[in-house]
Parts: sequence; structure tokens; C-alpha cells
Amino acid sequence: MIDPINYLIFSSVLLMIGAYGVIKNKNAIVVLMSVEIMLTAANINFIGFSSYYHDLSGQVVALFVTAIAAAEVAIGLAILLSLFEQRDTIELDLLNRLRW
Amino acid sequence: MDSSVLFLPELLLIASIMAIPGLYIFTENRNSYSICSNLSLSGALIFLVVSWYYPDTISMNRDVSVYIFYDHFKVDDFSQLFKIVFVLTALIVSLVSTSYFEENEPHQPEYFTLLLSSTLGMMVTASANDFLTIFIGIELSAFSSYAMVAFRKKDDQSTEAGAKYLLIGAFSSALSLYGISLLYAITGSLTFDGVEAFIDGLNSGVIEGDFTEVIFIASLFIMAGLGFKIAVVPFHAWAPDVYQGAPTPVTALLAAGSKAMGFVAVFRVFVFVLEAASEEWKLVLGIIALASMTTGNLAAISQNDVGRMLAYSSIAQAGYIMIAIPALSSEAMSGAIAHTLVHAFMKGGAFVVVGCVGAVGLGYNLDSYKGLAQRSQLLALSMTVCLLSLVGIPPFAGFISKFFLFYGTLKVGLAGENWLIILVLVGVLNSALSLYYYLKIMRYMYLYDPESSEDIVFPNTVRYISFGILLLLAVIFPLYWESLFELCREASAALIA
Amino acid sequence: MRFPVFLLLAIFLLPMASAEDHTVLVSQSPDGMSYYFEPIILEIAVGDNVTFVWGNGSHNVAQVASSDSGIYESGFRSGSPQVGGNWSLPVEYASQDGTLYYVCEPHIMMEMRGTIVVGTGKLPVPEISMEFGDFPWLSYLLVFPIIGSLWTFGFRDSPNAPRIIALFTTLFTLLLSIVVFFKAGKESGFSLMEEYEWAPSFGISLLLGVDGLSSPMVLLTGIIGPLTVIFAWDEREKPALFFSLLLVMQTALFGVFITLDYFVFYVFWEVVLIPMFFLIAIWGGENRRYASIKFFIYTFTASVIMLVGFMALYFETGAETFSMIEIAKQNGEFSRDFQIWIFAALFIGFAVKVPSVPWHTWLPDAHVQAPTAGSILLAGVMLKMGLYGLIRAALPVVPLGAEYFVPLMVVLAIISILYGAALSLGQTDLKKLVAYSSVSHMGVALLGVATMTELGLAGAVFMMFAHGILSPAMFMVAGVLYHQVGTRDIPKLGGLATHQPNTAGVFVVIFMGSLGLPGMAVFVAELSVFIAFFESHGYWLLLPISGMVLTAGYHLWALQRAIFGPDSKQIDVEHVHEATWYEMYPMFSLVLVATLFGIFPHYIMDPITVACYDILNFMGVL
Repeated sequence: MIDPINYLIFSSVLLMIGAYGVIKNKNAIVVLMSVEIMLTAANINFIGFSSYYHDLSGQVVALFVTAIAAAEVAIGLAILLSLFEQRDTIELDLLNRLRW
Repeated sequence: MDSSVLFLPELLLIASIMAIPGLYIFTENRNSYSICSNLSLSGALIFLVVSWYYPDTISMNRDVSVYIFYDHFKVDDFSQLFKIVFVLTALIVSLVSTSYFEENEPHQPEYFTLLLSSTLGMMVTASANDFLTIFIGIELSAFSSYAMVAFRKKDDQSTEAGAKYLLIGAFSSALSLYGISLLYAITGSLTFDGVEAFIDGLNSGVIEGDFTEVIFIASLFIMAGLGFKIAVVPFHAWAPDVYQGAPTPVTALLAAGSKAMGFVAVFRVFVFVLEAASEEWKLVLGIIALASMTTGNLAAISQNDVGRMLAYSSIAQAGYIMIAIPALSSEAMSGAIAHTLVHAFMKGGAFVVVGCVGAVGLGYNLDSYKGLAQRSQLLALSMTVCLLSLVGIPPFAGFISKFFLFYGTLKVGLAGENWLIILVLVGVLNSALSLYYYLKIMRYMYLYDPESSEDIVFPNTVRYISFGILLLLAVIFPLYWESLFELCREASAALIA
Repeated sequence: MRFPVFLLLAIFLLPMASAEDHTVLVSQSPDGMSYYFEPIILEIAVGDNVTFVWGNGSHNVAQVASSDSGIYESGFRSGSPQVGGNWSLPVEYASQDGTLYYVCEPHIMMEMRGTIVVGTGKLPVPEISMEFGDFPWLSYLLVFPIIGSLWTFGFRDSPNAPRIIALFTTLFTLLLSIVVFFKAGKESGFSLMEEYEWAPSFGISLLLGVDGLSSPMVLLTGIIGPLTVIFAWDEREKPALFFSLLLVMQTALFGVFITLDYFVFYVFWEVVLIPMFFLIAIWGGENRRYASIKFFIYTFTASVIMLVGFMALYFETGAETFSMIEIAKQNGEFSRDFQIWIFAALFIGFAVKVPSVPWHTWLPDAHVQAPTAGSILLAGVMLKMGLYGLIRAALPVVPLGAEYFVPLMVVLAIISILYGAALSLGQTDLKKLVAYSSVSHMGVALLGVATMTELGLAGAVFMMFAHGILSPAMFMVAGVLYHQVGTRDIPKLGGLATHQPNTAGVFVVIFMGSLGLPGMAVFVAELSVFIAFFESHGYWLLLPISGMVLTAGYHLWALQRAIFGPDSKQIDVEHVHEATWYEMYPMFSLVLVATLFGIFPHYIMDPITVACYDILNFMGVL
């Protein structure tokens, strides 16, 4: 049996890595990837505590979240692609047509 | 009758979502998509209204909440009232969209599909009874609206707004998911009732342990995600850009529907589930409310783009509604519900006019509103009523719902929670402050001469919709506000019980 | 048979016979160190007898107004100091609930005082008679202008129909308001009351009623209505919209003056702003955009603070009603601090509308930029809302708060009088002069309210009426001049009297009336206020009186420079002619009304006095 505190430590480290990536990076694709890491952090919690509580609902959530993450990436890439077609760049700093 | 008949409105929407892309194969007629979408939305609306006023026809009792899909889906007064609002807003948006599109606008079937699935997401959110369902509902609505914001692929602003909306939205939903996972970690349950029972148990000492910090952190994470949806400070940065950049009917959907959905989720999560842990998050929500009102109104003053100005006003309005949440009384909640409802109509009405003015080629700048009153009496009058309503000037609906909101909060404030009085006072002074920029639009409409004096030509749907909203805000709500409040009271009773 | 009857009688009479006797010892210690009444606080039931019995020393018993006052003004008194003997309190003082404070006059320095608490110790709430009318006169007042407004707007394409319909509607409402004025009569209490439920779960209903305070205001609104329409007879720019806004405004003003429900009062109060905003904004002068927005924001900000005050009153009462009468009945329950806060909140809302210095700055802008018809309504009726609200909605409800702010009100009123008059003296724009003179005149009315006496209050209300008649007349003068010579600049005018002798005659009468000539209405009001102020504050009266000198000064100076004197070179004097009929009739009727009520003030003064007595009674001042 793994001490549940380990799940929390692992997941919060992952969350912080993801959040750092979102804040620090200028490239939209990398930001999307960092968001995926954050979602994974939440998944770690769900799965870990699911086994801790012997409750399946956590794992069900993890499956749903994986699917949602995939959908998110699909839409995100589509939007970023059309942005790239217009401007030849996906640097976030250059998204300044609308006042940021 | 089987209780799953209550899922019929959602089912209608799902059917339509599948049918519209199918229509694309069979027919070239552009109107068919919008007709299909309008039909399913009106069907859902009729079903909801009938089941509200004549619950006997589907042999249900409105006093009792109905659970379907193994208790994951809850149908009560609260959810039904907001579903009516969502469907109505979607119907208005769907009607207006047709006139907003150009003759050969591509991708129309996708647009209506997305509109319907966004509405479906909102409806699922309203009925959710556990964290997974509410998360899926919010994400379904959000993903559809990301795509709708970036709908005009060739339009530079639209795409940029979509990209910003997507990135910030994804980030904040990841945060709120992490908050939910923390709640799961301490409670071992994902249903609203389970989490609520756990916190109650903590309070009454049945369950051992000190989880105050974890609950506090979890509620902060969740607030970050939901605060993004309702656009309160400090999660508001996306709103002005998106409201300005998105196609105006989509903006109307975001300002009216999506915002109301955010509030539905906030009410459910904070007032129902986390109510027992209210000591942890009360003050945070109060500060957020204070900051939103003030920032929104101050920032709106210097805006030149009407969409942007209304976005900031929308941030301020979210702040007003947030005042009532820390009060946690049934009266304050019904006030908050009332203002959320009326806000959907005020903002929806305003954006219908903005969209119409934009669609005839005048643009979205304040300058394009010069002398609007001389070019179209109806548009100017409808805009004026919406704006005065947003300020909260009697006798318009906005005043009445805002009064109800402040009334409920002040009552709790005077009964002991003195810091709420400060919130109410700041809210009242903010209303006076907000008058300035709303008057600015009115000033442009009435006090300046237009650049050309010919009448604005706009389709009849817009005419009827603006007239309807005008009537609703200026006559029907003010005269029959007791019945409006009756609805809100029933909804809040269902929420809190 | 006789015996049981006797027994019954005895049982009935028993309570009366059971009036208890109490004694109070009036004495001092033998060493002369302490002087006392024993017991200091005596609690008795209503109808008990109290006897004062003298012990050591020479004392008397005299009633004083409060627990810290030492001067006998009125009430019971045992006579000059006496040694030994006893004296009974006259029975009428113990016949109703209340608290009696008394002292020994020779030994007031030694704090020799006592208190008798009769019954509950609180004065009973004065009965207010509420008579529900059998015919909905008051709702007709509200409904007719609205109908007229829609009707006018319906005929917006016709050149003549709007003004004819508007005139017809306003004449009809004038008739209604005269009927209401006479029906309201001189009796105490509210009459012609009507109640329509609006939001019963909040206790909000459309509660209408008039008393001696509101009926003159209703009459005033009725009189000003048709005159405004006639004066604007020649309006060429969007006349239909103009007249329908005027009519909406009239409904809202009537609403303010006849509702007795805080919430509905607030709604009407704000509704007044919307048509006025558009009147200034669309038909105003050069700087109209700035003026209209300043006007709107200024008054809206003040009134939202007032709304918070109303809500706090509602919650403090706990009676689940917004009715002014019900809330005022419970004014004894409010703590002093609460009353002070509430009065402050309400006072800000009302003082901006009055307008009192330092919240007057919106007024000159609004007046100068507004079209003449707008100025007439603004000065004639809208400015009265502030003081009316103060007297109706603030004084009876939070009397202690009002008392606390009396010094501030007096100071603000005197500053308004002097500052307004001094600024008027320096104005060259005739309209601006009239605007500042309004500040000065309303200062006099505020001073009357601040005296908190029957005469002062009545004088203030009469001032509101009189100013409501004469300041529109002054604006009409400015309007006529502007219409004929295209300027209102006093130095540029001159020599008009020779070219329009009749009109100039009316001008002179109007100016004289406005400066307070005896025989015109303003004089009566000023006189009552000043007498009341002298009675309450003594020779401080010299300050406001000196303002009257300035008033006479700027009126006469302006008159002399603008109307008389040599022909001005800067304007085209040759084309000056008599005023047109639609300018002349309104001015003349206003002069007539002002003279009528100047010579027979009691027609209006009587109901006002009765109403003011009721209000002071409610405040517990009497």
C-alpha cells in the first residue's frame, strides 16, 4: 500500500510543472502541452485515491478526462492552425491585434 | 410516465446536433440548418415551459427533485429555470445569426451544430449532480464556444480571440479539475451529496480530521475555473478580447448563456456542495466581488469599442451577482438568480443591437453609434432600455433584480455579517459610477448627428427580438416582478434544500 | 334587583377608583450638601395621583423639556419656592403615556432634578387619520399624462396635433389637481388614499394619498403643466417627442408627490431624471451634452445613497413594509446613532435636489443649457422634490437624526442664501442669475425646515410653492428676451421697455414678486421663515436677512440694466416687439397666481400648517 501523501506530492509537482509551462512559454503549442500535464496531475490524484478508497469512480473520471483532453487538443490545434495560416506564427506575444 | 422523459429537451438538441450535418449531405438550402436548429430549440423551450407550469401533463411533481441516469442527473426547479434561459438565449442567437451571416457564409451547418452542442453543455451543467457531469457539461459548452469564437477563419480578430479564449480556458479548466481531484482525495466521493455529507460530518465531528486547508485550496482551484467562465477579476482578462473579436451573435451567447452557466455551476458548487465549508471561501468570494465590480466599471469608462465596453460591464455585473453568494441566505440567492436571469436578457438585447449595427457595416466603434436614434428609433430605444437596465435605473428590470439582490444581501448583512454591508455599499456606488459609460453610448446615439441620414435596413427577426426584449425589460418584468421573484424563490429553494 | 346592578357598577368603577397615590419628597440634607427628590425616578401608571411633599429647605417643582435642560418653559409648576407644605401634580399630566422631567428651580445648579415615568414612558404615537377615497382621483393624476404622452407620440407626424393634445391633457390634469387640492381640504391626516399591491412579499404597494403638505405641490405641478406646454407652443424640433417627454415628466412628478411608499417614491424619483435628461440633451443649448450628463450622474449618485437609507429603514423596522406611515409610527424604536446615519444618507439624496451648497453645481449648468420649458419644470417643480422629500420621508421617521443635523442645516441654508445671492449679483447671463437665485431661495426654505417649528416648516413649504410659481416666470422672462433679441447677456441688453411697454410691465411685476415684494407670495414665505428663525435662533437672523438685501440688489440691478436705460447698441432694438400670446398668457397667469396667494395666503397656508403640525407631532417636537 502506497502512502496517499505520495500521490499528492507527485500530482502537485506535476501541476506546478504544467502551470510553469503555461506561464513561461511563448509558444502556443507548448502551452497546450503544459495544460495536458496539468490535466495529468489531476488524473494522478483521481487514480491514486481511487485505489486508496477502493472506489471506481475516480478511474472513470480519469478516462473521461483523457478523452476531454484529446478533444481539447483537437480544437486547440485547429484554431492554432488557422492562426498560423494567417500570421505564419503562433508566438503568443504576437497576438496583439486585440488589445491584450 | 418514466422519469427519463425529463431528458427530452436535451434529447431534442442531441437529435438536432446529429441531424444538421446530415442535412448538409442532402440539401443545399442554407435555411434548412437554421430551421432545424430553431425547431429543436423551440421544441425544448415549449417542453420546459409546459413542464414548469403544468407538471401534471408529464405526471411529475415540481416540489420533488427527480434523479435520472443513476443519480448523475438531477432535475429540479433550479435546473429547469436555467434551462429555459439557456434555450431561450440560444434561440435568440440562432434567430439573429441567420441575419448576421453573409449570403455565402461557409460552414453554416457546423455553426448551428456547435451552437446546439454549446447549449446542450449548458443544460447538462444545470442538471449535473456530481463533479464529473458538471465538468463534462462545462467543457462541452466551452469547446463548442472556442470553435464558435474562432468561427470566421479568415477574420484575423476572430481567430486571435479564439486562440486566447482556448488557451486561457484550457488552463483554468485544468486548475478547476485539479481542485475537484483534491476534493475527491479527501472525501473519496464525487457526487455532490457525498461531498456535502462529508463536510457536514467534519463540521459535526462525526468524521475525524482537519481538512480546512485542503478544502480552502480546493475551493480556490475550483473558483479559478468557474471564475473564468463568469469572468470575474482576476480571471477576466480574456473577456474584453473575446467579446470584441468574436462574431457578435457568439458574443451574445457568451455574455448571456455561457455566463449564466458559469453562475449555475458556482451556485451549485459553492452554495449547495461547499456550503458547510463556507467559512473557508466566504471572504475570498467577497473580495473577488469587490474587485470585479470596481475593476470592471473603471476599465469600461475608457473603452471605445462597444463590445469591449460591454465586456467590462459584464465583469462588473458578475461582481454584483457575486455579492450575494457569501450571504448564503435563500433570499440573497434568489436575488442572485434573478439578476443572472435579467442580466442574460439585458446583455443579450444589447448585443443583438450591437450585432445589427455591425452587420449593416457601421462597425463596432462608439463613433458608429452617432445619431443612431435618427436612423433607427427601435434599435436606439432598445439599446437605451438595455443600458438603463444595466445601470439599474427604475423602473426597468435591471433595477428590480438588482434591488432584490442587494435586498437579500443587506438583510444578512444587518443580521450580523457586517462586512456584507460594505459590499452592498460599494455595489451601489459602483452602479452610480457605471452610469457614466452607459450614458456615453446613449449620448452618441441621441446627441450627435449621424454621418448619413438614411434609415438602417435590418431584418424583421432582429426587429421582433429587440422589440420583445424591450417589452420584457421595460414593461413585463417591472409590472409582474412578483411572479418573476416567485420563480427565483422556487429555484433557490430547490438549490439550497 | 338593585343590588347586582350596584355590584356591576362597583366592578366597573373599581379600576377607576384604584388610581394609586404616590408621594415625592422634596428635600435637602440638613448640612445643605445634597438636594434631592425622593424617589428620583418615579414610575406610575396612567391616571395615578402624585403629591409632592416638602421636607427641608425652600424648593419648587417645575417641568423642563428634557433630562439635561434646566429652564422652565411650559408645563406644570408649583409656583415660587416655598418652605413646607405639599402640592399635587395636576391630573392631566398623568393622563397619558410619557416621561415628565422636572427640576427645582433654585437648586438647578445642585442638579436637583427628578423624573416621572407615566405608563410605558413613551408618548403614544399620534393617530393619523387615513381616509380612503371612493373615487380614484390620484391614480387618474398618474394615468392621464401617460395616456396623453402616448397619444401625443401617436400623432408625431402631424404639425399641430401634438401640442393641442398636450395642452388638452395638461389642462385636464390641472382640473384634476384643483379637484384633488380642494378634496384634500384642511383636515389633518391623509385623504383620497388608494392602495394597489405591487410586490406583496416585500411589502411594496402603490400607496397613494395626499395631505396638506402634498396637495399644494400637486396643485403647483398641475398649474405649471399647461403653462409649460403653452410657452413651448412654437417648438419646431421634434415637437411630439418634446411634449410626450413633458407629460411623462409630469406623471413622475405627481408620483413623487402623492406616493406614501418609500420604494415607489424612489422609483418615481428616478423616473423624473430620464425625461429631464433627454429634454436637456436634445433641446438644450451649446453645452448641453456636458450639462445633461452632469445633471444625471450628480442626482443619480445622490439618490442611490438615499435608496440604501430607505432599505436600512425597512430592515430596522422589521415590519415588512415600505409604507412611510407605518415606518414613521415606529420611529421611537430607532436608536439615536442609527437615526443619525440614516438622516445623513437621506439628506445627501435630498440636498442635491434642493440644491443646497455645496451640492448645487449641477443646477446652473442644467438650467442654462435646458430649453426654457425644461427650466420651468426644473425650477418650478423638480427643485421642490428635495425639500418635499426631506419633510415627508426624513423628518417624521428619524427625528433625532434630524435634530442632530439642525446646526449643519442652518449653516448650509445660510451659506446657500448668501452665496447664491452673491453669485447672482455677479452674473451677466440672465438665466444663470435666475438659477443662482433659486439656490438662494431654496436656502430660505431649507432654513425654515431647520427651525423645526410649525411656522418655519409651513413657511418653507409655502416658499416651495411661491418659488415654484415665480421662478418659472423669471425663466419665461429670460426665454422671451432670448427669443426676441437672441441673447441673455445683461450688459448687452437695455432699453427694451420703450419698445415693449406691456411686456416690460409684466417683467417688472415678476421681478418684484421674486425679490419678495409684500403682496406677492414669496414675501409671505420669507416672513414666516424669518420669524420662526428669530424665535429659535435669535439674532443670527441678521445673516440670512442680509441676504435679502443682496436679493433686492441683484433683482433691481438686473432689471434696470436689462429692461430700462438707454437703447443698447449691441442688439437690434428696433425689432423688439411685445411678447407673443403664447409667451404672455403663461407669464400673466403666473403673476396672477402669485398675487392671489400673496394676498390670500391662508388658502394654502392652512392645509400646510395642519400638515406641518402633524409632522412635528410625529417627531415628538411639540
